[in-house]
Amino acid sequence: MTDDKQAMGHTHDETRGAHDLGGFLNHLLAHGIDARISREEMPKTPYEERADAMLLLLSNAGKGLLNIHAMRRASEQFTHEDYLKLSYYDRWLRAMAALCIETGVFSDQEWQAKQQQVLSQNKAAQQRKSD
Amino acid sequence: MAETQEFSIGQMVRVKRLWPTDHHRVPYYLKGKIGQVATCLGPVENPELTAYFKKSSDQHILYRVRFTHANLWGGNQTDETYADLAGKWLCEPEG
Repeated sequence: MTDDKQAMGHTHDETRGAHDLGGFLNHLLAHGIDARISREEMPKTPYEERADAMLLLLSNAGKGLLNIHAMRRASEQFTHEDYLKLSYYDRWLRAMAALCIETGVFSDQEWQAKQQQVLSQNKAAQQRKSD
Repeated sequence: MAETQEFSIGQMVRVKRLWPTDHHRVPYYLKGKIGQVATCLGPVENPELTAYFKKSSDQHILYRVRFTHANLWGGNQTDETYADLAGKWLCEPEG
């Protein structure tokens, strides 16, 4: 692939973020990532709509607490592994949470505590279902 | 201070060979590549500052630049890619 040869020829590969892999097929394959574009319709899940609604409320259309450029920047700060592993809306959620912590909407401790609370609620609900 | 238009339609430009790790809106595969200014899209806010919640008093001039795939990826492909790039990321082809 000429595109890969071209990309590999650069000496700045280490600055290349996981969000910026256009034309870098060998890199993706080396990381076991299927670079093909899926043309299958993905099922819509309720949490995706909630993530979308939350972003709207936090963004300039709502509270003005974050913006799309900051969202992109926050996603770019994920590790390569996280960035490539997370789904589109999981990246949104993680970026939103990171920016809310950064701008003091809530603290990291509050975020961790809330996650724990939701996890144990889910566990309890699962338990009730199986009883 | 608003940047004034410094590139004209039809002019050949090179994308600057800079690799900052801060947020910027230039894909890796375009850096160092030569393209042709197709349109001037006018001033926009600077996402390199907005991404860090910094107010940008200076506005970028955004240009739509045309790149041939033969130039980007080699071969004899006839497809083209258009990218919207800020004037600060463009320079003369020999630069």
